[in-house]
Amino acid sequence: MKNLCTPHDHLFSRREWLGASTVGAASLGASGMLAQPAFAEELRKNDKQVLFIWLDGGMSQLESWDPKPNTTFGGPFRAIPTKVPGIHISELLPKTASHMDKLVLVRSLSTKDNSHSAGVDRIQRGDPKNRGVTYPYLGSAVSKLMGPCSSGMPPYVWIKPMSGGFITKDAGFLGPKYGAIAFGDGKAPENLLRPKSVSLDEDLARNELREKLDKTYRLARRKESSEASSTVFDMASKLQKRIDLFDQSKIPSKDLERYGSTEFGRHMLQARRMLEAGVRFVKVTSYGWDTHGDNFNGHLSLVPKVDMAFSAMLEDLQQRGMLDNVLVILMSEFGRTPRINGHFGRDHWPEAWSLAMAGCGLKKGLASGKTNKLGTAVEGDAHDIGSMFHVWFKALDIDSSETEYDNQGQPLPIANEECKIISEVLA
Amino acid sequence: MKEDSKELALKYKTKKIIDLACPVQICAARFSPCGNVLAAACFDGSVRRWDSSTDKFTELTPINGHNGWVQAIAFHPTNKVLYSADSWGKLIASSYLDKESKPIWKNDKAHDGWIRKICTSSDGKLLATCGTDKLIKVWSATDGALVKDFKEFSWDPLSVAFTPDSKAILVGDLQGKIAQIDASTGKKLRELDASAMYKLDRLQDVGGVRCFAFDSKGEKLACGGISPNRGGFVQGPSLVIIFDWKSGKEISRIQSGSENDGYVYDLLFITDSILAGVSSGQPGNGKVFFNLMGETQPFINLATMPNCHSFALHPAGKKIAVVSTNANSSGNGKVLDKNKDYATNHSPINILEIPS
Repeated sequence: MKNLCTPHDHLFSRREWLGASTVGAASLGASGMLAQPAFAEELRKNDKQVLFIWLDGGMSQLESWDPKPNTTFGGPFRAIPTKVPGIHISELLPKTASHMDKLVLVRSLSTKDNSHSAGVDRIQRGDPKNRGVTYPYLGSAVSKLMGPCSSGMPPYVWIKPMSGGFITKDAGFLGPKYGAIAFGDGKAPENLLRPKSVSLDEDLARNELREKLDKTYRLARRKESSEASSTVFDMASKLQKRIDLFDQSKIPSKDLERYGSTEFGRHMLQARRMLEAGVRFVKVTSYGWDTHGDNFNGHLSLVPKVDMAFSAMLEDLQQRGMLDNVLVILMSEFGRTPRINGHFGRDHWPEAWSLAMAGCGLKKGLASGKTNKLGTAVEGDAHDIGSMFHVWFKALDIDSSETEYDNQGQPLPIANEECKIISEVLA
Repeated sequence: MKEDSKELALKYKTKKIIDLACPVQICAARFSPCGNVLAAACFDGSVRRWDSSTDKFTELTPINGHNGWVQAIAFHPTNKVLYSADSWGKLIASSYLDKESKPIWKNDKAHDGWIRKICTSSDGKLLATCGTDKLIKVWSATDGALVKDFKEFSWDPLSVAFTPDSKAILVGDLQGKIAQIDASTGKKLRELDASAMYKLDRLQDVGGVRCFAFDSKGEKLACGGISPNRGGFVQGPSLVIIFDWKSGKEISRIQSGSENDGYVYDLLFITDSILAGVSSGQPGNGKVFFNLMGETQPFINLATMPNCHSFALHPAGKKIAVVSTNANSSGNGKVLDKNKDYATNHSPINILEIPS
């Protein structure tokens, strides 16, 4: 295996980061380098982005992408036709059905964990072979492998309910600087802006002092710690210049209506703004999908809200010409059991479930893989999450068969080498 | 327990006399007004029937022709007709006494989607349904002709009932609103507040008014649901709110002690002073309860039948059918049975006898 990726190659240094947006913009605007095919191609490659929508707890495949109406475990809902003849999805997703021509469904997922505690990590880390290290979440992996976009914006942003902060857990062995900056409830981090009582000069002086102290700090500690510290300050600096991104008054009311007046709708709209601003990887999390009880009323309440915001996002990305460069993934840590329990709920089901994708590097209007008539098993090739990591990296022009992490001298594959890529979903 | 409650507990100490097997899960079961048929609305789109004229409860041929789930059934008060409604919007009127049940009329598109509840007026002229299309519809019980539909409300109705005088319809919605609507004009007459049965938890609307029961004099209205603590698992104590019908004021609440108890799915006034019902919450939980009006805790609170979804009283007043769920109904992953099959859960029907 050729080691194409070393820490040095993809180290987004402070200098690179702070310079990225100005260099990129200046280069484009001043020299007209977009006219040069090689440069334009490189820029497009660099500016591929990811929108990762995580429905935490487990969306039911039967009430979404792989309905089995009128069967033993099918539940009460109907399946509806989509814009792509022959592909039917749940009636709870009518708006998304009209965008099926942009989507790829994978209906052949078969993963290992049926618990949240292990499942979330395993899925978002790509379930690599156990080598005694903690692999990064997809967002941190992309952040490491691709660095920030030419905008210079933080490479990995997480829009989530409740509190925010800098989440280093996601980064695994890559080190804390590849963690996610989380915007709690989609809002700007607290105390982001320089207090009015501190002048610009005072602020610069303080930062200079901090950098000096950092240098001293670095001498006695692992560089990952100090890098993470300075990275956070750099992110703050960048976000301070784009505080407009958090100004809700600038969002057209029409957009608010289209995305839905729900927490998820607001967060998806914020995600769109982050993508437009040039964030490399945007994760949006919705909690509360663990419908062990009253699953059908639960999905009747939850899924249409996702349908609304997801379809609006697809429309907007398409309309802005971004769908060719943005990889969109919508998934959970597993699906839900075909069997309906006594609380009219469905339990955890990693055996045969589905996800939806759209955007760069993918085919359009495809349902890949299938489950049996009752939805209790995958028919044909089943795919673990490692296969999806190969697909996603390939869609982002990262060759997962060639690229490796360098974990302090230890070469590590970026996706589970025992899992095969699903070629048929790739453009 | 008070002395009269102890006496009542003895008086209503039921004994299970039959365990009716049903291979699928059941949403609701009802005895026919003549007492000769027990019918059950099933997850497999069938309405199963048993001859309840004797204690043998011989199974009759099911009523087919539905899609999805049959969630709701109702008998005509005098004619030998059973109405059934499914989650794909179909409404069927069938003869129920015949060995082979025959459809009398049907409407494939009565609603666009899941029909939640169905009820008949006490005079037998009308039928009302509510569905996920947010519509309330009133039908001629005789021929299924649409008499009226109410579109002007933004509710998400879960339950519907005629008032005892058949002049108005009650609608209970997901947000815990109860609206009284004039059955002939569609005009909203008043609203009752059961918002304690609703919670928005993160993205999920949880709860709702799941069932109604009037006492025989039409003086008291009981509404069943949950006091939701959270979505997902949907946990919360069972909740019954009782209203004085004339004034519309809340008289009392019956709230269970455990958040595992979940929804009250069915309610019935056994007498004007005794309200009975069933609840179903976390798998393995749920109760059959008998409550004396004015008391906040039931004098009978049976926890021996897990996850009860329906409660029906035989017209002779001596037998009760309680629909429960098999034990060990939940489990993550592919839980196989002793035959190594991934089998569906099922709903035993427990026929209980009330002592003479």
